[in-house]
Amino acid sequence: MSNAKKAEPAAAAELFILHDQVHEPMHDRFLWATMQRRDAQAAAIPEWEELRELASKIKGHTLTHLDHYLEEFEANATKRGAHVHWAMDAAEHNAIVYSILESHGVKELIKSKSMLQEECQMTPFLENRGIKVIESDLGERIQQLDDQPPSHIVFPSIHKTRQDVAQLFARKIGTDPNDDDPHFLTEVMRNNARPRFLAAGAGMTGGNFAVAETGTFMVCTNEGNADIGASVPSLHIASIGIEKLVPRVEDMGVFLRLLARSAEGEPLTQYSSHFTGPRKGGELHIVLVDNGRSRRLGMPDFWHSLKCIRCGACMNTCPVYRRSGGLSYGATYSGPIGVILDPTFDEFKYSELPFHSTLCGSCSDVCPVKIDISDQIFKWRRVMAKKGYLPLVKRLAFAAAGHAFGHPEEFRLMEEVGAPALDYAPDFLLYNHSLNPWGRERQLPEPAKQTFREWYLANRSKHGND
Amino acid sequence: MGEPFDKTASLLSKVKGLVIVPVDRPDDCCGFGGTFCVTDEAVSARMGLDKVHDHLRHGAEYVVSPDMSCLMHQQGIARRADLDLKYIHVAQVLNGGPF
Amino acid sequence: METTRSRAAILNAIRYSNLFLSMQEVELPQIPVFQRADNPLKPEFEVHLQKAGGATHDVGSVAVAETTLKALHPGAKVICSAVPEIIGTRRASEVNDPHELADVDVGIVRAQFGVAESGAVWLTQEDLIVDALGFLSQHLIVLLDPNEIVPDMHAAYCRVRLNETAFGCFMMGPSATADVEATLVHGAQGARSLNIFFLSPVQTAD
Repeated sequence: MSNAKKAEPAAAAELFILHDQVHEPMHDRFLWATMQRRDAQAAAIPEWEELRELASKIKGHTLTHLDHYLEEFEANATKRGAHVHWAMDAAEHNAIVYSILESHGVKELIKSKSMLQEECQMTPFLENRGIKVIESDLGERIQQLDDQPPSHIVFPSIHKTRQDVAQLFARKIGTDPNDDDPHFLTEVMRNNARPRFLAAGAGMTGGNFAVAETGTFMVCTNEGNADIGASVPSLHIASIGIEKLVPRVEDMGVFLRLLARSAEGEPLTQYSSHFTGPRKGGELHIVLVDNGRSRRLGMPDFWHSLKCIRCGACMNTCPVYRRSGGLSYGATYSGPIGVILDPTFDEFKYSELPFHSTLCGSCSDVCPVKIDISDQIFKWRRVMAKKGYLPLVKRLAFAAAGHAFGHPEEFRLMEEVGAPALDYAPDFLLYNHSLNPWGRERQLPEPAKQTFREWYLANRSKHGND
Repeated sequence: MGEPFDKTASLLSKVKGLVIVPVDRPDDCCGFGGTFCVTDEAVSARMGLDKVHDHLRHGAEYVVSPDMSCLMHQQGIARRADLDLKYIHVAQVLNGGPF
Repeated sequence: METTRSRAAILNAIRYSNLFLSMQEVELPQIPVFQRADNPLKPEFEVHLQKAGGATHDVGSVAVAETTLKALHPGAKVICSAVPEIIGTRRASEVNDPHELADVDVGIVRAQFGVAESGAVWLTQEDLIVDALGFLSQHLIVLLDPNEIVPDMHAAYCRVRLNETAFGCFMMGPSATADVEATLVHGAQGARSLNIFFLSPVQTAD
């Protein structure tokens, strides 16, 4: 069904690791540190697990009554003066946004971070129609200047060193390539973005949550860039995925206590803003977007992925993600959540992603809304295998492993035969890069003269509990 | 969040004279992952090497695990990197041998 | 716009999908009241605000507030105030267009309440008078009644009136980013600094 080239995360990850001795270790270190901060916050809240359970249930309830809550949200938002639009897919979202901008004569717009807008590829769509789009979030701006998508949903440029950023700013903004102090680079961004905020005809944001009870949507940032964009230009457009709904104002207490702690190990983001209808002297348009979400809702194995609050904790904890970098996934969403979301956009293109995991399960443990991410990764593997998307090598490897583990006598025979075979097989076969990738990075084990099982049967079982 | 509990460590702590050294990342996966170790080989090896270094950094002599594959994977990497660590199964320790 | 057709299509698609989940229906849970340690709220608030890059001052009187303001921002030329207690050089109530606030060195606002577990304060469109005051000002001074501090976000959401204001923000310290090598920098795009002045609202003959 898809003509797109398959994403190859393993190969891309290898490039990331081999690039130099700096980038991958830095990336791994920063995200591990972020995860530790998350752990510390979680440990400091006695009711942490209860909050996760509540969040999971609130989202689960909302999703199983989503039509009701969307209608309630629309009614309340409209009552307060917002314009609510509905977009079936990415193309419709982009068309609606363009139509609103065009009718207001907007030539330049400034936006804050939105994974949904990234998903819809909104920026190239608008720029092709003569509307300039400026990212205001520092990490997103860095990526925009570098013509790259964001690599992490919370820290879009976390794969770049400060030198990378300094070089990039020097090339694109004309600053000193040797000044790589993060304070300096942040100041550069501040001074660069500020005039754009003041000149922009519209500000665009995403939405972290949408509260049905009051028609409110929420935007959480550390920089305050979403708030500048919403409070300075008189036109504010917000793109919100339909799965962002929560029923009541009080539900936000649960989610806000979980979100920033999970995402970055802080009690809150610096700004947690609530928009209910347009501001004084302004106009507000909300675009509710489906783009495959309603279809995903009908997948009994995978609908729990819709509970995601985009915290990124799964990425920070994932040992594979930390060594691979988000760009290696070749998709809008990377990391564990990406692995279970992306195949719903293109099963063939992302058929390798579910294998880019050791199924260690850490993602499921840290997810604030208790998505069974690791289980879903495994379930996707079965889907890919059934659909015949596995490359031959994997199919053979899985078949061989499955057979061996399913037939204990054969497994033992393999051990008996394999052991002396390893003794006698020449090194050039054992350490041949193509024939035995194991040997690329590892010495092969020296098999013992006797397996433990053999020893145990010989020495222990006769004596019972010795 | 509850108190962390490690079944293997709990058993090993009952062995006289055995010292369990604390490490930086006790809960980071070693990277074996079944067929992952050959299909996603660079990441697998990196994960294993990081773990080997972590153990070495904290002065471990033996690395003990109930998982044979994890042990083989890390041992292979340690040997290739010429690092002096011994890998044994927890049953061997609790049984008092053979080593 | 075709959006009404899509509206129907989306709602129908959701209802259809939900048929597959009828076995997995989830009830909306009641959120319990969590047990809290009985610690005094103001010190907890101050600790967390400091961690978030903000600072607090027990000014106690308008006079002390004025001198503290001068000490913190000696070079400030444009001081835009939304509060009766401090006049400033410009009144927020006289601002017609948010773009006029581009030159504000210090913005002065009053927050309705603070949240102890984070050091955040709640500011609405009514408090800011012009929303942009909270974000274009280079620095912010926030007046806060020290008795108006709630323990956590659950209590906070009991106090907010989201359907009565177009804009409300939990503001925790100055603006910040950690996008470059995860190094925390304060003063990203919004306020470079945020100072809380503990001061009960003063009755003024205005």
